[in-house]
Amino acid sequence: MERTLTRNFGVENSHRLEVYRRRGGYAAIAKAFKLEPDAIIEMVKASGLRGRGGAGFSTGVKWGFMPKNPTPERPNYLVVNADESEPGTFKDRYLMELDPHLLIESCLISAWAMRVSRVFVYIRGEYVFPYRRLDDAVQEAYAAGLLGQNILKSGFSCDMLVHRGAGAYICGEETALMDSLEGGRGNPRLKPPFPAQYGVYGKPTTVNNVETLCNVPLIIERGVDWFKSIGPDERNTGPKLYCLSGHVKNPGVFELPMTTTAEELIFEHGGGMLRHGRKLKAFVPGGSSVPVLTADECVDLRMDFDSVARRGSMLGSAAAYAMDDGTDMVLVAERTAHFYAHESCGQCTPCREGTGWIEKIIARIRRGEGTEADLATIESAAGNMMNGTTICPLADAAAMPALSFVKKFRDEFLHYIRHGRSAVASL
Amino acid sequence: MPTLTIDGRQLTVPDGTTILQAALASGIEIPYYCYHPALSIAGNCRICLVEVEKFPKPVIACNTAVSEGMVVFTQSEKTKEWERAVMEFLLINHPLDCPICDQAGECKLQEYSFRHGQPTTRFQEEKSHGPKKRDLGPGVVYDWERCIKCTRCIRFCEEVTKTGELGMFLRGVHEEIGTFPGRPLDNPYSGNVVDICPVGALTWKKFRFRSRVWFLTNVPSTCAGCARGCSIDVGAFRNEVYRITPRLNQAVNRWWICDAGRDWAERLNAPPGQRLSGARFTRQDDRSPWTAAVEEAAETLASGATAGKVAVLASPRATVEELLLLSKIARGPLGGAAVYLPAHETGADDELLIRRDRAPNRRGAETVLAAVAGGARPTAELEQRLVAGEVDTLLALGPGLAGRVDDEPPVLGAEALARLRHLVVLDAFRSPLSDAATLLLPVTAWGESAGTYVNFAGRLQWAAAALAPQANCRPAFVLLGDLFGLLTGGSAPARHAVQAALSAEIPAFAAIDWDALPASSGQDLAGADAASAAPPPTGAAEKLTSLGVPAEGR
Repeated sequence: MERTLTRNFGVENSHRLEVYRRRGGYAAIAKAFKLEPDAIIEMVKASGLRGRGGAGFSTGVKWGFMPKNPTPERPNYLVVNADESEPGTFKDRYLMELDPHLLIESCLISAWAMRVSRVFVYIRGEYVFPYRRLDDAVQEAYAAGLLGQNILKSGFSCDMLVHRGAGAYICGEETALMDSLEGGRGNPRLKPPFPAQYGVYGKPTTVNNVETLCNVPLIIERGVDWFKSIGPDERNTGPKLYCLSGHVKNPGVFELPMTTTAEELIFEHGGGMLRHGRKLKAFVPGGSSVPVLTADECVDLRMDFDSVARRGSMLGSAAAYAMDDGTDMVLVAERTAHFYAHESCGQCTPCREGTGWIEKIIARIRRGEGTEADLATIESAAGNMMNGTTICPLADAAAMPALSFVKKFRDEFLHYIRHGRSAVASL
Repeated sequence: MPTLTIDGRQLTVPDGTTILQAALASGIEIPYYCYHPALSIAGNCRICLVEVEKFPKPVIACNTAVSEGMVVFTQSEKTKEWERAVMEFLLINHPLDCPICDQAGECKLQEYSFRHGQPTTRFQEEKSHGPKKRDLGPGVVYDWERCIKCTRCIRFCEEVTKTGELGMFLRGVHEEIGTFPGRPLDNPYSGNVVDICPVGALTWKKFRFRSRVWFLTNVPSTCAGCARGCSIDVGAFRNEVYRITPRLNQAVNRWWICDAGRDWAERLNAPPGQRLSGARFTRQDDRSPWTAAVEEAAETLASGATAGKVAVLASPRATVEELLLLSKIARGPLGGAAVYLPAHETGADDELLIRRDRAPNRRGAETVLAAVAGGARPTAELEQRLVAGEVDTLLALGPGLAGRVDDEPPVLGAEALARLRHLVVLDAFRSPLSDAATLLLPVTAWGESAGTYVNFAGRLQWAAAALAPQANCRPAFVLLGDLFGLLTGGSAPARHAVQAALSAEIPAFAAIDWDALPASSGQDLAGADAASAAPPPTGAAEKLTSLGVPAEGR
């Protein structure tokens, strides 16, 4: 299959402006300038592009919430969410390392469409190298007149600023990201007001994921119909980047259509199980916050937003990781619970207290001091954290894996409870 | 004006009101911790989650604006389950400190645990541990384990005092309230964070571990610290003031008081020798010393009046009732003696409550003196007349009526004082004036006898008697009444008669309903608009005020 999003991956000096231009870069922005901004929003809407950051919300619809008549006093802002922190996710990193000008061009088209005068890139603090690559590219673009005043003599002006985060998972949540970007503590904000009314510095703001934006030049260059032709149906269109990791021979980022199945991903593209003789035991399709799937549930599972949801999980950020049958699922559950307890901002009571509670219970079970009643407590506590009892979905992100691990690998928990040791070690 | 239904009750409220405010205004209870009417909405405690018809998820009552036809259930199974769940989360790591916690008895965690929680715990783990006594500043101590991270204290410092000393540090269950390096919590209103703390995490050093709150009688009264006259509750136990806390009064101080007012007990519990006790006079016979002393005072003043050399020194710390009696004594039996009113000013007015005028009743004194005694005259003139020999007999009330004054400049200079042949002093705390007195009548201090003050903006408020009087002193009102009776040949007037006279003789007091004053938020003098001089509303109250909705709750 032709690679489009990753077409410059593997090309020497792909991060340089001249290479990007030689390979057809910055043609889409020239084309976009000839289109009416609203026409671009309609194209993105019609393309069926859904957010690649995890929620899968229609990008075009989101863009439509932005005011049409920004003023110098009340400008529109675009924020690029490059705080890629969901465990297992590393696709945006490669886009920024290997093709930073694609992101810049994507931002320019999106800025033109949403009448944005300033783009902020909020990049994960640990991403030092991607930050340098992207920031160098931004300077290159400024020098070439691709950013700043009167871009390509179109009369359109737009600035771009790359801001590094300080290492908090919660700052990937768009409103916490905005607080952090403003220099404050990264706490999710109450909604309403929504970012399109009151975002960064109180101005209308759209927050988009890196990969989401990188699809926009493709839609402009090749058209809506081409974009919709990739993928299984109208609701799951365009190329998708899958981050495959875990117990596979060939981990990495794969650009594939959403017709790909989980088994194809793991066994063809991923090269199968890493360790000889091991079988697939569990599979997380969309990052550590989504419910885990058993090997049985992965049979004939198409890796698109809706098919994964029908199996009771989520495509999320398409951070897929596979675990073989030598994996202690209680340990995985504990490690996952620890992550969310560590990363909860602490604002809302259910999340602040619940994440730590679940971690403590699982840790006690792993010490061999658990009881069967503990499993009911985990389920009840996790249930009480979910579905809108908190400001942001981090509590859900902590609760969903906990619930699914206890439900689907109950035997392993019970083994710890009854025998004081792992079921897996005894294999 | 949307109409909504809460638990079957239809309410019509202004557009923009939240579910919680609508419920509070109509007496429906929805529990809350982080919401405070004077602070911005934080929405973090999650205890106010309610079920709303057609809403797929729970909503927080504090941040959800009502809309037409909204149906809210505060007693449904779902709402109760969410309340139980949040209570459980709040309590799993909360220490069982109640037996030694200052907040016990007035703790929202206790109250809501009782009403919305469950009797047992499922929490088997070791509770989280952290600092139990961290100084945030000179007055406030922080207990990390008790803190529920509602951020009320942080928002108070950001939005009300605008000093921003407090911040939230760390993350998740490790979150803690703290100060920034080199910037302790030492603004003059720091004690209010203790009041608004819904739990026992913030305590006031001077009250910490001193008394269980249920032993205190909280007497509604008025602070005497400055011309603001904040509404307060005086928490007393065994005739000692343990704690002073603000009492909500939208026309004067809203939810707040300053730290000096909070610590007013320190000015009452004076070091030995500061509090005056026992009448000092010359005539000794077999009658009660008070009878003899007052009689001697009356004769001294009468002979001074005959010689035309008597003057009167009033006090802006006296009550309007006392000042009316004093004015009448000056005007009648003392032959129209001039009445002087000292200034007690330090510092400057600030933007919140504190006034540079450190007396609670200057406006009341000036109003009464202007109407009855020909106006309040400056003490500089009295000093000149003393030095010139025009005055040799003085009847002085104060200046130590509300608390010790040993750190204040003297009301009259030593040179002027030395010219006095007869100095009759009614006061509670020692001053150069009482030291020089030829006849001293110790009186009850603020808190031991009742009366009314008028604040700088014209608000008439009741200061109650929260304590029994100290030994060997009598209320100034009683002594002045006796003097008035002796000097006029009549009887001492009762309080209600004096209050009736105030209303009858002084137009500004004409419409006062004196019986309604105690424990109320006070009444404006005619023509005054005290509320306009109250600190500006902040947070949710600012919006509520613009909507015309009373800012309920605290």
